[in-house]
Amino acid sequence: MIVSREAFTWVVTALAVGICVGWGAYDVYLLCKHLPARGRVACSDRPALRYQIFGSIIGLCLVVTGLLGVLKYHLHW
Amino acid sequence: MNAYINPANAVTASRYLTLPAFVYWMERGDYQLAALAVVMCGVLDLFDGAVARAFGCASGFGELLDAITDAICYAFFIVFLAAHGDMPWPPVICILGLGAVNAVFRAAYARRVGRATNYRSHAMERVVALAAYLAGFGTTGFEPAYYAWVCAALMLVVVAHDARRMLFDPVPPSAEAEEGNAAA
Repeated sequence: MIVSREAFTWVVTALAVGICVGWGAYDVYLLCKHLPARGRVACSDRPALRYQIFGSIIGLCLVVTGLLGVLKYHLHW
Repeated sequence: MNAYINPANAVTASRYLTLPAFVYWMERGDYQLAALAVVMCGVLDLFDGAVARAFGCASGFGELLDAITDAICYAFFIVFLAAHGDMPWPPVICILGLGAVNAVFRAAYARRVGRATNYRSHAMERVVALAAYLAGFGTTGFEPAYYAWVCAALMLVVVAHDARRMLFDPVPPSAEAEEGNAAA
């Protein structure tokens, strides 16, 4: 054991929340960057753009999943 | 610089060293140290790209090695955790099955492109990252069943999406051109 179980739980919680917040901010930034471009050019002409947007949406789903998992653990849902 | 033996590939290959360390600590019941091995594997994954850029040794082989190492390391972690009773088998089997299907689609895509290429999917990169966290959560007992089922469900969505892209969408002239179009 490096630290007590309780301290370790809080380290994991802080890591999970920190990664979710950082990741969420990054994907929101990418969406803000790519969504206006989507309006200018038909999405069918820009498949790479469509893939980027899909990736960011999946990223945001993972952020929500991560935060719900943290809540589920601490609130014993 | 040599496309096969270079600092970036050495960093990628060093990730395999975390696997025996993980098994050793799990068997001893040192879950915190085992979690550290998982974190180390993830950190090295972030680090190899930076090393490739710093030394100017990025290569197609390096990208492929990185993708294969991701699959082997994270699959090993979650299978070990399931075998150890720390994670339910059904979502783990779903994740492994979808990973195998995705690998077959990648091979089909490489045939369409006509060269060995690492197919880049932004969505799959994120799901692979979740698989990495899943290994960490499984080791620490942090809602492993919940995260495993969500990972399996999201992976199903991403594999279904990427199947169309890999099997039917037009092939871009090159990966660089594709990324350039996306950034424009």
